[in-house]
Amino acid sequence: MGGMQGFGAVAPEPSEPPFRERWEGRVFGMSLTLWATGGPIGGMRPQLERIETERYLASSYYERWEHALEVMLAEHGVLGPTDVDRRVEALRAGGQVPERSDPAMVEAVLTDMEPRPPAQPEGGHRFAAGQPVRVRRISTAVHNRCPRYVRGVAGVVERLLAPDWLPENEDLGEQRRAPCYTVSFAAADLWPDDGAEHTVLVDLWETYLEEAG
Amino acid sequence: MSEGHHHAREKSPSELRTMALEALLVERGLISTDAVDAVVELFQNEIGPRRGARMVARAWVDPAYRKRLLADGTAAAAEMGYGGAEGERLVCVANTPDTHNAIVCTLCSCYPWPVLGVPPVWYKSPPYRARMVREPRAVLREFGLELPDTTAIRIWDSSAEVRYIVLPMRPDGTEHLDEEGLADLVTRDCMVGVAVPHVTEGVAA
Repeated sequence: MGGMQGFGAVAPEPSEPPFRERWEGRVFGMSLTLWATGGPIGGMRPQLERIETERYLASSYYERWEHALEVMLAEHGVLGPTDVDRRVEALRAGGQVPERSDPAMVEAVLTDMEPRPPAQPEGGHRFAAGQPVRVRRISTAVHNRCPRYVRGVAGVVERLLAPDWLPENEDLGEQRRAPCYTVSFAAADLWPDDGAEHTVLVDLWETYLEEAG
Repeated sequence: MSEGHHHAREKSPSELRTMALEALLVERGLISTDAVDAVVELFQNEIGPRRGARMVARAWVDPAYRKRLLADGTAAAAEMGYGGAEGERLVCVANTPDTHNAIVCTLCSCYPWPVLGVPPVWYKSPPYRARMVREPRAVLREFGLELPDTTAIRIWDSSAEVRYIVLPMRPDGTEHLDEEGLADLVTRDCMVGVAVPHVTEGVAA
């Protein structure tokens, strides 16, 4: 939503706890547990972005995570269409969440938040640092991570980044890495009428870029 | 946030759906409640902005560490024992007298968990995500940070897999402080780039 207008002021809140309500921590903890143990979910971002716009804007961060978890688990065949609704009714009637202990799973989530060996760097970059590039005017409906506000705009390669999994992979059912770049954009090129002079640095996969000029 | 006032303990739909999910996933053997507990405790007690503050303080007192931090943030974090999910590609950007850096994720709310913990609500909010790339001076002013017109502003949008952390400048008048004392000056907001460290009389800012 970079550059979208119509939002009010940012509301900083001093001394905010990591999780404002207990359920927020449970959503976060369930997601990390499933990721750390290779559970039947995906990366979550495609599901978050498929949330209808009005609902998206009206939901909190962890409400969106909760919803995306349900969607991912349904997509992977873990949940049937009425499983959650029926369990909610059971909980309203006094049902409880069963306890389960699994030391191996605890170990897995703790290990997931420890330093790990760096991913093997690979080269293969088509563009060089300092080179002018333009962001392609991507209009696909497939999940991607090319912010709308830089599409069609020219910038300069600031830094080469290691190749990474294409965000489109999950939607397309393939697994492929592509080189990444930090691209520097002048605010005057992004929003010519604003009169702003700052720089915005955006990380982009090579597939989103073409030579400028 | 307040619609439950008169009916204490009435559970919200999100709370109920979360409980339902947890129950179903436990029964299917896909999660354990103690693993979820472990994640929550980790982020409540151990993983948070204090970690990033220690890295900043180390960089302030140790030029060699500063160099390593700016060259390879992931390795410099690992040196301190910090790393893992959402910190696999950590890049540290340094403020200078001429340049101020700040981070945002306009697409979702990517954030360097291992060194800053989970992001605050404002970082995840549409106003911050939409406006920080477009009118950073106005947003910074809402945080109480007024930068000179001559300061160049660089906004880093974490749109791929790199996660960013800002290395603020060490404030004057801190020569007597040790690393822990310096870390006290470095708030989460300083490392996101919506604040700069200050020295207050007697008390850490």
